Amino acid sequence: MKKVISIITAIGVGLAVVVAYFLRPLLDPMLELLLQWGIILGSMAALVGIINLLVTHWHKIRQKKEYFIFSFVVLLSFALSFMGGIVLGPQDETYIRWLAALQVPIEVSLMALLALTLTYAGFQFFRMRGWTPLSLAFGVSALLFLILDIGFFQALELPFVNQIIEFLQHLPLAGGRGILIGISLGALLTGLRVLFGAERSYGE
Amino acid sequence: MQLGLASALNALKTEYDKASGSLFPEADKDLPDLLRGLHEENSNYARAVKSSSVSQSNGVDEVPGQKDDAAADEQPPESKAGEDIPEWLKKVRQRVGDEGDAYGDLVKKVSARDSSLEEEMDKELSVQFEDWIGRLRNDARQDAARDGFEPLDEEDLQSEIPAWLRHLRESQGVFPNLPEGSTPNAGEKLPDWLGDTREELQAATGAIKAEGMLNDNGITQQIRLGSSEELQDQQPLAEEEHKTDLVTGQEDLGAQAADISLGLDDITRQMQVSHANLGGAAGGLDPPAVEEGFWEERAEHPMLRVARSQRSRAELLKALVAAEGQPAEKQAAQRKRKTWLFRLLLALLLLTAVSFPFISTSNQTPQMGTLPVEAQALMNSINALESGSPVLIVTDYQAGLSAEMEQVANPLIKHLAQKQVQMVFLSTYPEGAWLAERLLDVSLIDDAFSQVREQVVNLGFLPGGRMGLLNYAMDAHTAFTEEVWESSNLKNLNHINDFSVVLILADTLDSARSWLEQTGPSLIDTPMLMASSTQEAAMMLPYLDSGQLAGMLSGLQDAGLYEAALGDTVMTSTIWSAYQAGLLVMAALILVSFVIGLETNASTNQEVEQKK
Repeated sequence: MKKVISIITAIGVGLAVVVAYFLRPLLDPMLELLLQWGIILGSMAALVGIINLLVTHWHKIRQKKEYFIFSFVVLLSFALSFMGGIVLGPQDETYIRWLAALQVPIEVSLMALLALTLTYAGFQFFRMRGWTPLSLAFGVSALLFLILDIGFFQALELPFVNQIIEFLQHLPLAGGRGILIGISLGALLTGLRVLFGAERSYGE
Repeated sequence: MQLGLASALNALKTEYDKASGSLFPEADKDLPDLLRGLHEENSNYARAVKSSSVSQSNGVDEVPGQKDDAAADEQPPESKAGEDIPEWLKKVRQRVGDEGDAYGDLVKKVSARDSSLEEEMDKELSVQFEDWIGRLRNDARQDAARDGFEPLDEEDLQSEIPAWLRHLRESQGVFPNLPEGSTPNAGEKLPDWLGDTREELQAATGAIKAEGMLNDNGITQQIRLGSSEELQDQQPLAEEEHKTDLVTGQEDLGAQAADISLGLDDITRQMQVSHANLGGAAGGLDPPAVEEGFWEERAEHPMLRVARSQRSRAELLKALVAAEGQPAEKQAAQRKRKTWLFRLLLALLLLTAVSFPFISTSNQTPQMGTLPVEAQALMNSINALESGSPVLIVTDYQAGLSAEMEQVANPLIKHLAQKQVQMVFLSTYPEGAWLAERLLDVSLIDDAFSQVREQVVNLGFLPGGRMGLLNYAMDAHTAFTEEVWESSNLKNLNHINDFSVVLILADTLDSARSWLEQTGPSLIDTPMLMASSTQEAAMMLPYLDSGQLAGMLSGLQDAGLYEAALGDTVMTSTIWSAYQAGLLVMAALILVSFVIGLETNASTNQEVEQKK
């Protein structure tokens, strides 16, 4: 019975949103209401996720599992950030600087590490695989766009070279468009499966 | 007939007389009538023969009745063995004793016939035995073949004996299983060390025997244990025992073969230990090391017949399998150390290249080149804005990419500030709210933008993801509280379409798509502009190509060109140089890896050819 209710609810809401999307602005009030319900539910889900995260780390600390010190850091950071936002307010300049001073260096360090790892992976790719069609395609394209991004040839300001560069820089258009079409088809198929009740991730 | 029965009775009586004195202790009382009659007739006949022979010898005719009485008187009640034998037979025997060849032709023929019959019987028995044992062997071979055992071959067994053991046997005068008349290979000799050891052994054994004492010295005992006599005694006996079992046993031939193999192995092992001890006595080998290697317990099935070479290969395989689950610590550690060192060098190289432009301030040149078409379209869109026009700026990027995104957005914010527009910031990222403040701090440093800065409205975080975006696109007022809209700068902004321009600063395709797909259809006259990181620029091109985006600025290069087009080169010159240096190092590394890949390719081809 619970499954049937879930399926009926999901299919009904999905169909209502689709119909309302095509019959705007006639059904805008209904669509807004459904969207606000969805936003509230999503926010509550995020809250439940945060609580679950805190409980999980608290259990790790209580049971003194391996690397529980990191769980302690997570809880401490959360408590300080939460209390800072409650006391000072999220728009407070001090609070924003404090957050930025913590978050930006950490994430930038991760990005720098990612750049290093990708460089190393690109180097190892040829060493491990040798010259194969795949490795050559990867190497040539990576080398070409790295050189183009350096901007040396653009600095020459030669019309013929600029035309070539413009042509080369638009080459990814085809690939990007193919990827986007694939994403759209996948989303469409998933939506249809939900509407027809074949995809029931909510009721499992 | 009567004579035969009488002879049988006599013989029976004679034998029992020998054993227990008399078969008939009560004389003829207990005999049945028939036997008693026969016995009496026999006795009478014997007496008659005796009397006739006596009369013949004496030449005097006597009365049978008198002779019977005399004989009866002379015969003791318990006659002795041989006394009942007739006289003629005694004489024959006596003559046979005197003359070895006293047999007559008849006797000789009978004897010859008997002996020939016995030989035939023996042959027949032998043939039957061979047939029987042959059937047993065949059955055993078939069973062994059915169970997967190879048939036993003596030559194989001999070939499995190591060469040193054959030499040792030859030195001991033991030539097992050699065909008669064949001699051991005289061309092969013992190795020098073994010959020396043997001489030392003989000398030591002789000395011990000469002294007539055996002390508790371990080496002496080992020498004694490994003496040639013991080896000669143990080896052939054990082998012969197993071979006898092979012939006569009625068990499975495969099992016997395994026994023989194991028996040979045991003997070999003992001999190896003995000679290892000898080697230890001579200082040539380390006895415990050899002993441990040969005395280790084997867990093979007794039915399994395994050659030494097969066992060694199995041991090697077992060692490989056992080592499979465990990492080769040294190699892994070395590889890890090399990888770690290479990564460190790579990081240092990149860091040096990126840091150099910041250290060296002499080479800061403005960005050169032509502004791309999409960037030019974006510039034109901003140029078309009037003073005080509301512009929605979306800061949907992570803090980790803020370094790049701020450099990309900086010339755009400056350009908007120059146009004196009213900027409204919004983000679907929680950190987007304070990242917008950081962006304003970085971009609007100049005092000339202070008035613009005061008019900036930061709406902050828009929750709900795509649903929140759609909701905001439908009715901006319901997406935020009423207090937000009380600001004088937002009084006329009831819908997203009320903005003059929507500028999205997105670092990922996902956030850009959300804005394009959820709010794009609601924008009627409002152009949507995009500023993205270099990595996502390629994915934005289709939206630009379809007209969903009015303009786009991506990456540091376009930002530098945009800044140069605005006539400001302060911001990007150093950062651009560092960016170029980093890219140059990466390109150089990929070129180097190209060459290494060529070498890898050549070695792989070489291996393939070798395999072929």
